[in-house]
Amino acid sequence: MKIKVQIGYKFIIGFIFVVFTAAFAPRVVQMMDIVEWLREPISFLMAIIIGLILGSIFTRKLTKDFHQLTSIANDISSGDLTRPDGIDVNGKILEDESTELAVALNIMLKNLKGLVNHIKDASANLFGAAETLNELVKKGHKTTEDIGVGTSKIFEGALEQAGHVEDVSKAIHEMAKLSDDVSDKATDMAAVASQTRSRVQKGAVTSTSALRKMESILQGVDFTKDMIISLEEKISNIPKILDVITHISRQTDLLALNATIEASKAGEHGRGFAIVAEEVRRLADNTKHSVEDVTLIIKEVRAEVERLVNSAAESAAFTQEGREDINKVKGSFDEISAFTSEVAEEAGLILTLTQKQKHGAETTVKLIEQIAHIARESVSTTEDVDNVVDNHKTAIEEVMVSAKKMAEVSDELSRVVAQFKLEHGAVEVLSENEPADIH
Amino acid sequence: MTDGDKFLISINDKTFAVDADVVAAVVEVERFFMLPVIQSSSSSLKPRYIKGTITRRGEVIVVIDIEELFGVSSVRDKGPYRVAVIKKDTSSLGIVIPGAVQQSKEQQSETGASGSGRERISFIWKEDFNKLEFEPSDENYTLGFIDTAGKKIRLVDCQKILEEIQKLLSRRQ
Repeated sequence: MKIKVQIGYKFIIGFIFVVFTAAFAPRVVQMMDIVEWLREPISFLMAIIIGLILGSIFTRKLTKDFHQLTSIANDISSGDLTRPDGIDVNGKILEDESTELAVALNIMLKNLKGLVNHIKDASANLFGAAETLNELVKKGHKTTEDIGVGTSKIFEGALEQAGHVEDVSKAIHEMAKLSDDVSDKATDMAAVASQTRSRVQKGAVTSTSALRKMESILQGVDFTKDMIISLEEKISNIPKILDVITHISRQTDLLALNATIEASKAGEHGRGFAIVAEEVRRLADNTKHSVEDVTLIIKEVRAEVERLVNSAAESAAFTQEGREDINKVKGSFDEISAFTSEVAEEAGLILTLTQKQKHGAETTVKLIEQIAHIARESVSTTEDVDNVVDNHKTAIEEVMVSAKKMAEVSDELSRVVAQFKLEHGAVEVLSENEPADIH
Repeated sequence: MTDGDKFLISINDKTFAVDADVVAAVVEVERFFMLPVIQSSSSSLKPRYIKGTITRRGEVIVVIDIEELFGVSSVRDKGPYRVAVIKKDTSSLGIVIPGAVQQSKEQQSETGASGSGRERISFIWKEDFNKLEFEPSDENYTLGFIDTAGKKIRLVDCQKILEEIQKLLSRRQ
């Protein structure tokens, strides 16, 4: 049967026992045959002695467990875990806090043993893992370096590709611009061809109209020529009339002259008649001169009319030639119209083709821009990958450092764990687990 | 010579005058006819001043060039011609008036006598003639010279010419 009494109560009980004992000391002294004046000091001394003895007993009794506990704690603190069973608490009837502490120390010792064993195993495993990790990290570092080199090459290739794509993009842009220019020129050419066709058709219509008008002019010229010829014939009759007039005027003059002669024969009575006859002569003479003037004018008119006839003939000939020329021009206009129509159609086809070409160039530009964008993104991605690889490399290096540290920690842990003695002769564990050479 | 009206014939720059009362008429002919009675190869029998003959009312009239009569040769136009027919008594004489038909403005007469002043034929009326100075002359076929403002007009002696012609004709016959 076990009773749990706290230490405080034990102290109180001990104190009470000491006090009780000390309180009975004077009575004991009184029962003893001791001088009176010594009784009190002896009682006091006896009480002190009894109190010291009992106190020492109680103290020893109380601190005995703590000494054991302290010893075990010191052993544990020095890493000696060799006690097989710890503190024996089974024989104690009155348990107190030291008993609980001893049980806890026993459990702690047991747990520490298990923990140390576990840490040893873990340290050993950690060391192996550190070595394996070190190997893996080495491989990973080499792989990362290889990846870095590859990534650098990929980055350079991506840069070169981006540069080529930029060049291709510029070239395609130039080609697209040229295609635009060609399209614009083709549009202009189509418009010009259309305008040319329209103008040529207008020209053909105008030439047809001109031909009709030329026909009218030719008919007018022919009519004028006939009129002029008729006029020439009529004018040619005028000299005959003038001859008649001249003859009449001459005869009149002669008649008037003879009348004057006859008047002179009448003497003074014929003077008036002679004057009249003279006036008749003057009139006849004026008539004659007028006829001469008219003759000259008619001569000039005939010359002019002859020139007109010749001119009309020449005009008719020219007009005829003009009509033939206009016919030729019309034929040429028709040919030109047909040709310009073909040109306009060809220009339209060229325009369609150039527009398709322009559309294709625009599509190509878009695709090239997409490719350029992808190339730029590839460069960026490659750069990111390179950065990631660098970071990875750095991380690997950090992992290597960590692995080294882990090995060192493992070693340190092994050293620390080696300080714990689980059983006699197990201290060599530390020497078996030499720290790995981790770099 | 009478003191009546004078008939003036202007030839080039010379003017000849005959009595107007002996001038029967002025006729126009196309050509002159050379009759055998006046046709001769000898210049003495056929003077140069005789140009031919014309017929008027059935009468054959000898035509003379009065300028050549007075020794001045001249180039004559082709026909038609105007001929002043001089008739005195029973004799007739024709005096050709050159250029009278083909007369141009530039060849108009400037006799200063009465008339138009432009024609080759003009007149000096009796009243005017009496105011002019007349200078008798002994020259052949000339009665004298009429002075008209410094220009002298030869007054032809038609009678003598007629007589001369009659002589010639009678000599040929």
